[in-house]
Amino acid sequence: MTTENDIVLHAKNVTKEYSVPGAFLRPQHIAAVDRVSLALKEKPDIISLVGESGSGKTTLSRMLIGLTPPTEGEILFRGKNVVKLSREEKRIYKRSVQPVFQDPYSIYNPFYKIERALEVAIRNFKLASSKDEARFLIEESLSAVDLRPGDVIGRYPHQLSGGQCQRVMLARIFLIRPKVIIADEPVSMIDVAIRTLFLNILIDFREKQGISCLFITHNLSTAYYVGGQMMVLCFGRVSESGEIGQVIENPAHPYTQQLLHSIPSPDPEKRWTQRVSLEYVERPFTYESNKCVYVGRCPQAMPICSQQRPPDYEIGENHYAACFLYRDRPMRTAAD
Amino acid sequence: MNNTTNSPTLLEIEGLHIWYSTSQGEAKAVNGLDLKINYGEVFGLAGESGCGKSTLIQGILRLTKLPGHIQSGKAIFYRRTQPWMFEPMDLIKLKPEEVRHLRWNHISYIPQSAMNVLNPVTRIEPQILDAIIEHSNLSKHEARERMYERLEMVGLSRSVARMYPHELSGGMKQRVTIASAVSLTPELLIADEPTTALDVNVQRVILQELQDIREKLGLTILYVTHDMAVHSEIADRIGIMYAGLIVEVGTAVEVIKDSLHPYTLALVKAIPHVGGERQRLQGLQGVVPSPLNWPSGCAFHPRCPRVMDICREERPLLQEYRPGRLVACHLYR
Repeated sequence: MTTENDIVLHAKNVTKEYSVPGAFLRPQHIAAVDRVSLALKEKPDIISLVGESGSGKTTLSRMLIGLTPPTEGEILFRGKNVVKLSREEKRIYKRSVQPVFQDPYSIYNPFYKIERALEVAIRNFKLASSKDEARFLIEESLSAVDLRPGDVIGRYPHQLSGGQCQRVMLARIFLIRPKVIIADEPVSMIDVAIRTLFLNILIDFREKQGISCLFITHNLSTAYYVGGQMMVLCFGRVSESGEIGQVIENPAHPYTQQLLHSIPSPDPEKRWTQRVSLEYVERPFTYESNKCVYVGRCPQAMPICSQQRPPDYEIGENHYAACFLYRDRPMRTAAD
Repeated sequence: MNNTTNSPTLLEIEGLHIWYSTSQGEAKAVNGLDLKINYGEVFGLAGESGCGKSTLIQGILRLTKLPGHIQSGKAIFYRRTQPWMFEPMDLIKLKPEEVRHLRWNHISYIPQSAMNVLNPVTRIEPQILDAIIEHSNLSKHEARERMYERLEMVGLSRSVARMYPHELSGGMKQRVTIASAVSLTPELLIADEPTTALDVNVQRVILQELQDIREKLGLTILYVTHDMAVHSEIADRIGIMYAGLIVEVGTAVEVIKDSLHPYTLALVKAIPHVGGERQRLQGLQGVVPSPLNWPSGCAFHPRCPRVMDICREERPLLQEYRPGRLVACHLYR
């Protein structure tokens, strides 16, 4: 019997390390993802994973889909380590956790008509027992993502816009009905006015189809629009997490505060007034495990920030920040 | 933010047609476009993919490649001959040598993903020096001094000149590109999506940098991006482009807070807000039409929530609705 709080997909304290050449040709270990935990539960929800390039968000998503194993920690699907699944369990895992990628055209074989992606999914997952039924399902799934079947069926990917191709991806998701979508920057390559349509479908998938989404983006505004939970990744570590409205209204971590300040204002009468320097924004983060990863750039850095890695402190209900500014608050326990 | 509506004209485009000859007919990517850019302003050109903005820029720079060709129209550019004297010339009628002289000296260009344009196996210095020397009469020594001056102007240290592109971050590479593009103090800088590939923090710095050099060098900037939030942050005036035409022009405040054209309204409504009440937005239905087959009448009519019968038959002209406020829409006749 599964309950709402049962975890479907769990990244348990995962780390992904790489070796890069360091000084004197001695290999230096860099953690692209550094002891991160993330849980997607039975209850459908959208978790936005927000971070800049190099923050580790893509690496984390690849581990969750099973494309690469963690160096430390485990990825669990319904409680079982994904590298230890039986063939049948693996099949269920692959069906339950489906990716959506950034480049709308990259997934499709340009030599085939676009509906082939849907036909293949129907065949692989045995969703229809006749050609007519398959056709019906294809049309239904396209309508579900606001595409007119006549506009799309019979066309090749290059004949469709990025927004249409991306929505056909979602039509495929609608057919397969996974439990979780892992969407890595799904809207950054489609036009702003079309993005809304795509994001509305993701929201509908949660409300009406019960499909959860791990929404990976560097764009806080789109994350805010889809709602749900948010985790901010800063060079491989989770710096802040919580319900997105709460985090945006009360950003605790200095890194979150800076991200918010950098969003261009939609009101031309309220423009930026403060100056920022590039050195300040791009000063390299430190990789050492016994420091706060943001200490090189933090305007509020204290001595302790260079001596220990900050644990998660509780800011509000379900709202945590890994920052010593809050060391008088309760620390997060494993039960949370 | 300046109201540059009444500043002197720097570039005036009239009835510009740039078409691509294809086996299926002429693709009219720029379809009779009118546009006026004023001296000293940041003019934001907004439009989604497929509206023709890249074709337009290439046309202005006379970089149109076959099968594209400039079919007709004028692009009067007021070239600076003395500090306060400007001489008009039609960019479309210039010969190739004249255009080459114009580039870098008078009109400069930062293409999309400009930082990827840097040669990865050469240091920064020869790349910038080559561009300066090729387009001017400066000696190598003078060119080097100018390069250092411009690097410092964009907040980079001189030592950057000795580095290779891969040693620089995305933001630094973009600043090198900007420094290089303004090395000969052009009147007009055309920036095509210069911050699309950059993180939001770095984007903020680059936008700040562009505004700084605009002040320091008296530049006019034509800033092209589909991101209305960026226009909101830095544009003085904004022009909205759809289906090869300009459909609305006004100051940033006017276009964003008091949009006239239904397409502008859709673009503005799509600007995501952070914080405050979360509302479900509509987005824009339909798809961008193909330049091979623009819809009859007003090209926006198949997607317009306020379409009328006349919109299907007659193309609305870009007309002045109020001083400085242009719109091409039958709702405002």
